[in-house]
Amino acid sequence: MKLHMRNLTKAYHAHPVLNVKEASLGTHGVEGLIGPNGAGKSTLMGLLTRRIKPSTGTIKLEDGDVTHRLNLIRSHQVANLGLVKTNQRIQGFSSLTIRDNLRLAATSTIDETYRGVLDDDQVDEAIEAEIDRYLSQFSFADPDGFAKSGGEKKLLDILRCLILKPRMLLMDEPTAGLPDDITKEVMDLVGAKVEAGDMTVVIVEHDLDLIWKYCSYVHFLSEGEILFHGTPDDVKNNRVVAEKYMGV
Amino acid sequence: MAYLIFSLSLLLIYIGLAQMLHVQFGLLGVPNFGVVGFWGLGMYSVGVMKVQLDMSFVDSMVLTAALVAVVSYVLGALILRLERQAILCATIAFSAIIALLAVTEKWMTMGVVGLGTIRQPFRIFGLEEILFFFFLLVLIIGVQVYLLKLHKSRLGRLMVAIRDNEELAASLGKNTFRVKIIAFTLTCTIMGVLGGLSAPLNQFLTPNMIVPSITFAVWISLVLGGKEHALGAMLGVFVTFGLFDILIETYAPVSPQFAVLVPNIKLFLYGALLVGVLVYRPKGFLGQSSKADEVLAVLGHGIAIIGSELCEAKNAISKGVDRALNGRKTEDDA
Repeated sequence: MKLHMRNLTKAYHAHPVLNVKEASLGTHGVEGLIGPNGAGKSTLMGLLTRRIKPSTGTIKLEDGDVTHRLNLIRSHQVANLGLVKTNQRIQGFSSLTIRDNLRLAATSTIDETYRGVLDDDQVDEAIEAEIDRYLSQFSFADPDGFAKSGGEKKLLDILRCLILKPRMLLMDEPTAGLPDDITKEVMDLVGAKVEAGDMTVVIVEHDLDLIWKYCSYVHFLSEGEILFHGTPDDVKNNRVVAEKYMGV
Repeated sequence: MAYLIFSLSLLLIYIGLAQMLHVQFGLLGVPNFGVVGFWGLGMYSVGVMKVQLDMSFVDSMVLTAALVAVVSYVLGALILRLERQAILCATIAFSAIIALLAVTEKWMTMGVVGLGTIRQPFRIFGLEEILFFFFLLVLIIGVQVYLLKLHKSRLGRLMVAIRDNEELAASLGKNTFRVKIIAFTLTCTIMGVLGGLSAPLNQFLTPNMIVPSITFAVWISLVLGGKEHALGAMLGVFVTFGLFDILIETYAPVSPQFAVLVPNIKLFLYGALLVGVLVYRPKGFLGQSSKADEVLAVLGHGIAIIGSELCEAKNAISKGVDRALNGRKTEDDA
């Protein structure tokens, strides 16, 4: 699954924050998107998932032979096409337990009907088995209760996205608030899914070690424009990136 | 007796309204402050169809349900994407419009003169009221059973998720607007149907029946009982309307010179109760499901203690009586 942007701009009250002439995401397995604070990374993520409306420009999602114009659809439809984003800041459903969070994400809308309320059997074995698999791999203090610490909530946010079986996953600062060992487990699982060809991944991150370690292609965003893109080694050795971001 | 049946029927109508508000606000987080508007629209719609157009009760109920459904769908489409405060204002404005139309559209509603008489649908002499009461009872129990199931269902989980964080639910592929507008239309339609059922109960309709205090009574009941709990609506209406309007206002032995004070004292106690509950149990008597079990456990424990105390008291009394009797006997003997 690939994303193509063309002449994509976003301005708040005539103050431009993003201006991407042309770019593609999702062609290299795991890709990184780096840039200084205020470069427009989160705005770009929001535009791609239709949480934010662009000022001008088009976004196209290419899935095999089918191309969807994302400008025309709403955010839940984007998710249903397989483009899912994890959240930078902690988001959650405070009244749902960890299991219910995962059940909610895994349950198809077709089953969430008024007639379905009368079914005695509200449990889907396949979904429960999958939730058990995730919960045995990632430990929560109380897997049948609520996510308590910030780390648990962040992990739950990522698991909620993974259980949706996305075709393309956008990860907005996955390491923020997550302990190092858990980050490694998450990234290994994500890497395995990418290897298996289940999905492509774009990571927005300030932790450059993580970018160099897991990404096979990196985009550098600064002042709303993609100034450079290439392999991690190209980016590391690029003078523009070094000047504008790494402070060398 | 007839008045008691009327009061209990009205109590069931209130429970129904609170149940619908529970779905809207307790589960979905849509603050509908126009409860009386949907109820009044349904009531006047049935009244006009029966009195002015001489339709049968069933026909008028079906058409009323359709009318309220269309109105609430259109209103929902206009307001459900807005922020909660805006929804609150829009619904309260809607109910004000309905109340105003009942006064101004005299050709249809007879204005302040009033519209009547709307007869009971079950025409069995002497049993009309009681049959209608049982009809309402079955309806409300049916809704309650459905609500209890809804709480454990996938749809219920989705509704709670939308209440907690709508944007996040949408990012997981849930069509949150669709869920909201369908639920809003359905529940408002049932509020309208409950209004339609109130028409033969009241028999004679006047515009001053469509007052905001009905909305507030339903809201207070729901908040008192526990807005997020499946049984909160029912409990809340029992405590407010059942306790104050039926028990105290009708049956408490109050001497005539104080009787005029009762409605004011009722309002005062309503307020005191609401403040007390909000301070000590912010989520209502029942709070969340787990808390409700706690409350029931505490209640059960209390009843057990009272029971054992009563037993002990009874034993002590009988012992004392025995001793007294025996004592007298020994005195006599001496």
